Amino acid sequence: MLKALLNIERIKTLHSPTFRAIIILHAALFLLVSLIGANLHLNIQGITIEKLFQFPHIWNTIAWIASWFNLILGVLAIMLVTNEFQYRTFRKQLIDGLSRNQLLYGKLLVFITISAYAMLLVLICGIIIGVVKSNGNGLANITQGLEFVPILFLQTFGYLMLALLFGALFQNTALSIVAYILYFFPIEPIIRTIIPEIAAQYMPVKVIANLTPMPDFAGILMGDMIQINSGANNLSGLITANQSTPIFITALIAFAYCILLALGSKAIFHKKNF
Amino acid sequence: MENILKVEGLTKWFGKTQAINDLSFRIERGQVVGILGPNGSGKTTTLSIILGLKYPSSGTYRWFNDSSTKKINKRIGSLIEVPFFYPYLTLTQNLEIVTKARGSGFNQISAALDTVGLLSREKSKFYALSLGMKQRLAIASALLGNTEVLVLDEPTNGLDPEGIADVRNIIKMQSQLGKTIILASHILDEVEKVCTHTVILKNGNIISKGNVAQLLSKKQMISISASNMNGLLELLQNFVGVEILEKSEESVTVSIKEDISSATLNEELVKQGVVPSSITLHKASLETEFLELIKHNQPKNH
Repeated sequence: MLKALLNIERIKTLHSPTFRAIIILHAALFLLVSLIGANLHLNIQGITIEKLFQFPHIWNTIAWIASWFNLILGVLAIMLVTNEFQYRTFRKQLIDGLSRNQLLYGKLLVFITISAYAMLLVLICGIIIGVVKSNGNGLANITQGLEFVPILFLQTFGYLMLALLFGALFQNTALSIVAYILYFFPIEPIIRTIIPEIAAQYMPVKVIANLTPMPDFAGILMGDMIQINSGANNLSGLITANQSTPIFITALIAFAYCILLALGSKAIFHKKNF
Repeated sequence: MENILKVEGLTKWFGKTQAINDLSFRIERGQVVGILGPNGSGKTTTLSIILGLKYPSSGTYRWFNDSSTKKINKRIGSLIEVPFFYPYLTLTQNLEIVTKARGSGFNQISAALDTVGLLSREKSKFYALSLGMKQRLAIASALLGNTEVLVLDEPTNGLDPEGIADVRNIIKMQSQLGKTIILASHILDEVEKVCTHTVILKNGNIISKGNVAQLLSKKQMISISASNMNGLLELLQNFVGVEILEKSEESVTVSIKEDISSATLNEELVKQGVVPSSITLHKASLETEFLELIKHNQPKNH
């Protein structure tokens, strides 16, 4: 059945004008910003940002840039879900023999594919820019910090799962998008100011956003990058610049959130009268 | 005969509104069952529940004597309300999704499109179709796969007379292939032409169910003319088992119970001093019977 679900989603997603337009927009914006960033020649008191686009720092930098555009993919995910309610095609597919679980699994497969696309885009872009900017120097460090690529996959998937929940909950495209964006800014940030700090750092958007932290510009440029100092390629030892929780733990929590969001969506799908 | 669908005590509330109340009926293999009722009588709600789209508030339904609902819909081809397809996909692509969901062969698509007269439009996008064509596509979709049952909710919506006749022929053909058909429609003439059984709903309750032929044989319709129309009307109004349906200056149309014959009625009228100048026997129609049931019947408990 997995093959049939994949085929169903392939037909309806790849031919969707919405999907095509948003994916092209996402790729174009990401590539544009990455290329502009890589070609900036800022020199402030002898410090240049070129090092951010050289191995091994490129992975953190480019994953961080890619994370800016995850919200676009979140909006795409909402549209893919709410369009099914709008066209009443979920209803049609239930009639045609798919189960409520299979409707959900179909969307999960699409979201895994979109996350893989985001990851692949970052990987290819990172390799190309890294090779060009490193000029042969630092190529030995090409795999150092590569962990940011699969972590970006998890982060993108987290954004999409949150979008799935909002889409399933509201079913209306505009309402879901507004609620989704409002949740990012300012609903969750406000909640984080109200609740104790220990709990605030484990709120879903905080956890998911922290997966790709801003590169430690000062540390990198002054040859004092935290990742290098920790001396480790292993993920558990990697501590990001602006958070104290090891990224491996953050990734585990983000993964747990993805599961929770999937279960929440599943409950909605099961309770709903189509 | 084998039970295809058994519905027991089906009830559905939408908030404080009761859409259907304690519906119970059975459908056997090979029957063509018309579910009739005015707008808001609960036809679509009933069909949506038995197809698993909505949950009942109480009651049960069982397809194919199987308590499991899994994979049941793969054996049922359905069209509920208006056609739902992806507007940006071609007809073939939309039907390809249906075949994947049903686990049936891709090669059935052309045959299904041909059956509903849409083969020449297979590459057209769904949004470019007229309402009638969309309805035909939905029927093609219901025909895909190895379905044993067809559930069709208002299948002739938006169709021209030729399209309606085509749908009637498709239904008859599918019935001859041994498929069980459940048909909800407002067009009673169509239902009468194709259905073997009916379930009539009013305000979410069953007010009649059974064989169409039996339903129609219960009453006869007669048009009577006489020179003394006032006397004729007066006599008919007091005649037990006779109900006046329509009156004009030239004639009166009445329905008479099955135990009264037109000859008996003629005899009685003559005895009472009114000599009919003409008596015309009409075949009772489902439409007349339906309207009478809707007008007079209070819900029955089944």
